[in-house]
Amino acid sequence: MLGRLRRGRRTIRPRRHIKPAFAQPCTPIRRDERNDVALETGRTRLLISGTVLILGFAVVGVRLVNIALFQDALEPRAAHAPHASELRMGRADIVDRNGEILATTLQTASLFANPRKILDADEAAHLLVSTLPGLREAEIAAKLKSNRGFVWLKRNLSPRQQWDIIKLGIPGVEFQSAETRVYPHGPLAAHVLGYVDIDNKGLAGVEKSFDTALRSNAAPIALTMDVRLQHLLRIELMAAMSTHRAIGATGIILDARHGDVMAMTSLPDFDPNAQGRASDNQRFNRATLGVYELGSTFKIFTTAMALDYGVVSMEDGYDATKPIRVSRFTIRDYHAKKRWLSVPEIFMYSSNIGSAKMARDVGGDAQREFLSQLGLLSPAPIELPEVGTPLTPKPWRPINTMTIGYGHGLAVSPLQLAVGVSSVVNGGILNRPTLIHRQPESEASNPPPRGDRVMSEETSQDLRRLMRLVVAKGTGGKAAAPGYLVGGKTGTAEKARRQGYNRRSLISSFVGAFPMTDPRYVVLVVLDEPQGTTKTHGFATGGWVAAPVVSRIVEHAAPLLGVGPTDEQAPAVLRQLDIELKPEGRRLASY
Amino acid sequence: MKAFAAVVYVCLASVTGFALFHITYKVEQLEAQLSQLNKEILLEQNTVHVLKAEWSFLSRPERIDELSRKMLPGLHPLQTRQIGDLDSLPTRDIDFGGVGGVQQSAAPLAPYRPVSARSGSARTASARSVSPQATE
Repeated sequence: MLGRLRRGRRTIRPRRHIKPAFAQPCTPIRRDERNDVALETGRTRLLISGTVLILGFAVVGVRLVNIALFQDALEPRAAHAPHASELRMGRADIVDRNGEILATTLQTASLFANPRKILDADEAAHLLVSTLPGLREAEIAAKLKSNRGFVWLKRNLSPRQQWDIIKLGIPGVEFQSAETRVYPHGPLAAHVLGYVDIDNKGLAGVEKSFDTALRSNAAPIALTMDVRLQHLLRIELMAAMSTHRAIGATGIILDARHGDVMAMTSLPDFDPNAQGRASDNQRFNRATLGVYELGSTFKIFTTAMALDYGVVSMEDGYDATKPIRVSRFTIRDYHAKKRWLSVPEIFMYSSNIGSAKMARDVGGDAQREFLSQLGLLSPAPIELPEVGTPLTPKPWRPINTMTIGYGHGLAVSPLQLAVGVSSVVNGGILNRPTLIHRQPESEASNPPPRGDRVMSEETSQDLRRLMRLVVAKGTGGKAAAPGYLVGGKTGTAEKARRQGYNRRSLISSFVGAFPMTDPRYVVLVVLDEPQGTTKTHGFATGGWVAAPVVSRIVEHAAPLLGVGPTDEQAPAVLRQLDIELKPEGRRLASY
Repeated sequence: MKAFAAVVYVCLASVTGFALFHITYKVEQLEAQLSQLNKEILLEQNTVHVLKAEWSFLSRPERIDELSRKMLPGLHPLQTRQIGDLDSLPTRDIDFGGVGGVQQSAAPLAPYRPVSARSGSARTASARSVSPQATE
């Protein structure tokens, strides 16, 4: 091809008398048709191949410039330059609603030795023990003298200890770094947070239910809890537990409008930093996993149900003169008045007879329907793996309808009760309880799901007045926190044993809400097997042992929650919450 | 002419070569610096992370509660009667005539005087400043 081209070139400009180095003096070349055709062919071939070559080089050139100037210059360097965007730990933090760290992952160093490299085992052991007082010198010396290549000396050193050991400069002693899950608040929110195993895998609580998210995301998970409220709830429950020698206690503070769990405690608790030493009793989450017959607090639901279905009105009432006998059961009143009681009186004196009759008149099917709407017949939809399934009677006989009317025969978790009560007081909307805090900025684009209406606003308003009445004039007087308009209901249930109920072991509770004009928070306190003291005149009922705890919690929590005190005697408040009792009732209520 | 072109080309080539090597070395040096800085940033971030955990540990309500009991015996949990709102404050007739009126309204705050210049002891002065009820 090249030869042809050259020949062609030579023939293109025959008359210019260019003198090729090797050519003879120029001689005119004959032109004919055949030569012209060959010339044209050569010319076209030259043009095509030239264009192809230029295009090829142009592509290479453009790509070269592109790579050298415009490509991500960091890419090839990433291998040897550590990226300093954000520190990534193997497991994301868990924080409370204000960003306070509840669980975090720290790099810790563990100390090991290679005994074959140790020069003087006794001296090394002496030095190590002087730095780490927890170790025993003889044991360490024996380990360092052994003939192995690797012995653990101490796991999870603090940074300071690690530095001290580096300063000692003992040859053969080395560190291995690992990540450790740390709970700075110790047992404060143990049951909600849960704990992890030695490989940082979530085994309980939020650590388990959000295990995948915590492993894959760098962003912390924010809980709805508030450490200050949690602390308040915990110390008040601990104080009540030790005063009344109770075997356990549970407390919940719930946002009545959104279902946010602000604080949740189950006692006895444990330190998740040392979860291996916790007993099963300590690990047991009484707030969500435990199911209990919670007694008279259920009268809130019975009364709401009867009022909402229009079976009774606030002016109606029942005869509570005599105990009811149904087959082998007898339903008695604890605070027996032995007379006709109006609906508000049944509620404020916590009459079992009245509530049982009310439930009977509503009927079993309607009752089951109502309770299931309130979420009391299915496990609580909370983001924890430890959720108890309610114990419901099978079959649901008329006697069950009556006993459930005053809170026996149906066992639910304290959280379910708190959620149910929050829907009763917040205007009749059932909100799903949640532990995961919704950031205010995401609220606008992603509004929280609206709850379902479970009863009319009028019923909710009636129940607010009834619950306020219990604290103002009834069995829950000790729950009053002046200025915060606490309303609520006491509950005292005998614990079931194999045969019937045990009169000596009680579950005493109080569920309250404040301020009753427009309830914002629900507070539930449950004490397991409290004992009466001389101060409570030997009583261990909800009104005596749990109500005062609620009072103290409300008094201290309200300022933290931004709820200001109101004048309880203000005309507007009284108009909204006061209940006109029947003349007879008023006389009896005065003592 | 040809020789001149060759000289120019050789010069250009050597200048380009020199520039290339210079830039390469410079880049390597900067890369090393970047890597060092990134390492330091990571270390600092780790330290911040540890300090945050420590802060959380030191500021846990349990400890603050205990410390305030021990160190601040005069401080008690907030009582309901200590909380009020603006509407509950009594109104007072203040003459806002002119700029000076604003200063007059700030009268309750006594001007600061050094302790030595006061006739009373320093103890009563501090006691008065913490409990405003006592002064009114």
